[in-house]
Parts: sequence; C-alpha cells; structure tokens
Amino acid sequence: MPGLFDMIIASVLSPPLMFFVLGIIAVIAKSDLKIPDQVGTSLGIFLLVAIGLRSGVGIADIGIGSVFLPALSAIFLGFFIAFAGYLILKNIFKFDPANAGCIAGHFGAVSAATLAVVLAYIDRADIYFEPFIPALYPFMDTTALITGIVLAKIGMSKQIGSNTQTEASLRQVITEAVSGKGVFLLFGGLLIGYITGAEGSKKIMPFYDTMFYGILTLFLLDIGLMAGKRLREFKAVGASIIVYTVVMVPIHGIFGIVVGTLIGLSVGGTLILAAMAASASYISAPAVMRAALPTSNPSIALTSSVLLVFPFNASAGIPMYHYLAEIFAKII
Amino acid sequence: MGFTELKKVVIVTESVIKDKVLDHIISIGAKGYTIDTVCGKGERGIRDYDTLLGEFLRNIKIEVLTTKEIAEKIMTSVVEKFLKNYAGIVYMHDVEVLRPEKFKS
Repeated sequence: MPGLFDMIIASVLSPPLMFFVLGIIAVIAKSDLKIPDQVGTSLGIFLLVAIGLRSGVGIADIGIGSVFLPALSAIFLGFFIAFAGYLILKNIFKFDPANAGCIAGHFGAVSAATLAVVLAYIDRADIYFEPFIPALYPFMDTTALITGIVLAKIGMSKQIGSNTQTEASLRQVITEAVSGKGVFLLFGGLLIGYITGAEGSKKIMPFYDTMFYGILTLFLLDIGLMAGKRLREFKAVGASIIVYTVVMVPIHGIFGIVVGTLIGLSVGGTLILAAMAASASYISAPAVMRAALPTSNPSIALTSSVLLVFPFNASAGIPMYHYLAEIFAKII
Repeated sequence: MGFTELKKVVIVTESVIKDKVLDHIISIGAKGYTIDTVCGKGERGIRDYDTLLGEFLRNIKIEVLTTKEIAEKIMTSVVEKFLKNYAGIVYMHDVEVLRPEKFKS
C-alpha cells in the first residue's frame, strides 16, 4: 500500500475531482459554461441507476441474507450521526431546534457524488468490496433525514410560544424522504438488478459500466458549477458550522470505519461505509428539510456540504479512511 | 357570449410547499389553477434555482381565477397559513372572462 500522502495526491489529481474544481473556476472566471438543466438531471439519474443496478446484481450473487446486518448498521449510522449532531448543534453551538435538526440531518444523510467518487477510488486502487455496500445509501440517508426532522419537531414543540402549527405528519416526512429521486432510483435500480441477476442484466451492464466514470466527470463539473455559485454565500455559513464541519466530518468517517470493521466487512466495504457516513447531502436534503421544517434555513448546511464536506472527503478524506480501515482491519 | 368580471389571485412562493398550497386553494373553493416556475428578487434576496437542487430555492407562480369572495379568502388565508415562514407574495387583479361557469360553482 502506498503512503497516505501519495494516496491523497492521487485523489486530488483524479479526473472527477479536477472536473469539480474546473466547475468552480468556471464560475469565478465568469465563463458562460452552463450544463443545461435537463442534462444535469440526467447525469445524476444515470449515476444512481448505475450504482443501484450494480448493487442489485451483487446482492443476487451473494444472497439477500448477508445484506441484513450491514443494512442495520447503515440505519444505525444515519440515526447516530443525526442524533449526536442535533445534540451538539443545539447544546454546544446554540442553534434553535429547527436549524439544529436541519443541519444534523444534512450531515447524517449521504452525498451521491461522494459515493460515486469513492467507487471510482476503489476501482483505481483495485481493492475488493462487497458489491452490495453502495446499496446501503438509502438506509443511512433516509434514517438521518427523518431523525433530524423528528428531533427538530420535538425540540420545537418543547419551546413555549413557538409556532405550533405542524406542517407535516411523520408519515408525510417519510413519504417525502423515500420518494425523493435519489432514494427512489437507487432502490429501483437495486430491485431490477436483484431480480434480473448477472445473467439477465448482461445486455445492459456494459452501458452503465463503461460510461460510469465519464459521466461522473460531467456530473462533478455540474456540482462544481453549483458549488461556485454558492461561494458568495459562504460568509453566511458562520464560524460555528465551519468548526462543526471540520471536527465532525472525520469523526463520522471514523464511526463508519469502526462499525464496518466490527461487522466484518472487507477493507473496501468499510471504506465505502465510512465515506457515506462522512459525507453530507446537498442534492435532496435541502428541499426535504425546507418543506418539513419551515423555520430552518437549509442554505447554511447546503453551502457547507458542497464547499467544505465534499471537497475534503473527495481529496484527503477517502484516502485517510482507507488508511485507517487497513489499520483497523489488522487490529480487530 | 357576454363578459363576466372575476378576480385573478396570483401567489408567488417557494416550490417546496406547492402541493400544500394547491390543496389549500382547492379546499377554499377555487376550481383550478395555473402554475409556472419563476425567479426574481424580493425581501429574501435573489431567488434563482439550480436544477441539481430540485425544488429547493425554486419559486412558483400560481394563478387562480375565481369570484371576489373566494379570492379574498384565498389571499388572507395563504398569507396567514404559509407566508410567515416561507417566502412569497400575493396580489389580485380584475379580469374578464368568457364562460364563467369554468371558474365558479
């Protein structure tokens, strides 16, 4: 295994991350570069379906029984990160319940781009992983969003004189979180991959496998453009969120490594779980949170997710988690 | 065919609450609506969306043609129910329509 420093340099200089930076530069340079709306959406759809299908085929290979414990672990991680985050944000950083729940939910939820980047990393490093691990995304993501919203609602109802109108029942919240594009497509792809298996999906997989990394670069270019547009909002993020991000993101990654190692995943599987735990959502979470928690301002979490959390994980974070996962695997 | 005077209520608000607002309008007695995606600048700054973010930061404009009585009820209740926490404006115009039975019961 190469040294940690070389691994980080290799990540920074990988095409997906460089395309992300290119997107940011395009905004700063006031380039007229724009990825058309429908194209941007389509790139995301492609990636989610590809990840879902591949995982589904993987589960068909291994058998659905082996997915149970890892799925529970993903639910646990999503819950725990959002729960701890809420308490920290509310009690230490003094956020109101709505914003504490909103931010904690974002950080517990998963970024599809980070998941795609860690898969590209694993492919490059040529290490084994249990093929169903990426399918754990929806479990962690949905659990974290619901946990953040429920905690915020409990916190708000405790505050006297606060706005008591309840905008969404828990059932509505769950429906919204599960019917979101990301979770829906991943689950859909997963199910189709599982039903068809390796043999049945033979005809379609080359399309997804061959184009995955190329599409990923364009998707990250689009995310870079979105991140660049949010640069001017960065001042509004505030020191407390920056501190929370810098301290908690690596800790979330380490939680993922510990849990992954304890349930007996391979180093590759543990690495993917850690990257999902460390990542913060910015595509689906803001709209879900805004609808469920009217007094929250998801802009703060969104800006931090896309300008701090994603670049950190995609450059230094993933190689660090890989390094630690190798060490943990030897200890435990 | 004669012309009938009605009111057109316009609601500009956040796309994330679209379904709730529409259900509300219909429950008050509107027979239909027209929706468009818009962007603009107001009290809460420039609101322009990014497709990657889906509904987030996206604004919609809802137009409802209805009687004066229902129009007023829609305006006051929408402000009370939604616009304390969500960005938005409401206003109404005088309009004239043909076939008034399409807009009132």
